[in-house]
Amino acid sequence: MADNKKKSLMIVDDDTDILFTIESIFQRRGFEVFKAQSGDECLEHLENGFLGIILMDVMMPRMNGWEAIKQIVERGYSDKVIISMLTAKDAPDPDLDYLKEYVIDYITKPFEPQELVALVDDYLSLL
Amino acid sequence: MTNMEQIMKGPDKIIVIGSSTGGTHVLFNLFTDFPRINAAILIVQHMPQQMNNRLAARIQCGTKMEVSVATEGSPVIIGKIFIAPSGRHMKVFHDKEIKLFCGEKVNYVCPSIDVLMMSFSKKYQGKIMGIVLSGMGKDGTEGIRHIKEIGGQTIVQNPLYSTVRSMPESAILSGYVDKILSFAEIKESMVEFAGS
Repeated sequence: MADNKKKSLMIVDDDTDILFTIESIFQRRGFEVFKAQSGDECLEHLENGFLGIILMDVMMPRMNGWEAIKQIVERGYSDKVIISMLTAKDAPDPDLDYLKEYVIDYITKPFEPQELVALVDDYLSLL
Repeated sequence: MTNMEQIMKGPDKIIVIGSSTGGTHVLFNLFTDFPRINAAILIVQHMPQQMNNRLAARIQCGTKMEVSVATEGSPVIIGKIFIAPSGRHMKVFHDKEIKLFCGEKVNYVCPSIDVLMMSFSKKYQGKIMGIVLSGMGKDGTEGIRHIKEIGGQTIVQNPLYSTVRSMPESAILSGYVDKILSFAEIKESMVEFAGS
């Protein structure tokens, strides 16, 4: 069970190319990969019991990444996941400072697949 | 010196590290093949509680120093690395004993880097080093100012190499930072400061 938990990755991004690229990278490495195209879908996966690492885009329709993190915290899911932002924005908004303790990392696009794999391996050691 | 004498006296040197978003990789790199140095090291990493023990275990893999999540009343002695537990501020009481307490968030976080750094007195003039790594916001800025004012050394991770720049940049803008360094240079400075 612990191993399953450790090998679960959720990608939250409205860009389907990104979703399928990252899915392909991590499925080859034995991860169970969950895809979500918005914050709403991310929360649905959590409600269905997702435990693992979340790579979260910032700018998405309906519910953006930071709003999703706020919901994750308010609904008590933050102790089940490790969250890293995966975004084209080069720096977080200062007024989101209050969410920083829930975001372990901030990866900017474009990313190198090997770099992303190394980062996710690091997150696994913290889960 | 016996263990009891060390506990009564407190450590000769202390290094305080503040880290937030993007900082865990830097901590992993700092504490890879990290020697046992003649200092106690205290770390505040902004993180969810479930990561506390895992972070300690991960850092332990790279050093012969003894790493643990801090507990109330632990003596701060040479050769130990303490990680502040999530949800409680950490101070060093009388310069030699860990004090944990629940309180209002400072800079939106608990534990706060500022709270820990500002708990040291002038007794540590020339014997304390404060380090701020990658992160959001400005936690650590007041702490760096305090450490400089009591005669300590202050270092920040070069914002150019920081995942998130705002925390090191805020400390630099305070005007109280001695050195702006890469993680490799920070590691060298820690070892040089304390001796191994």
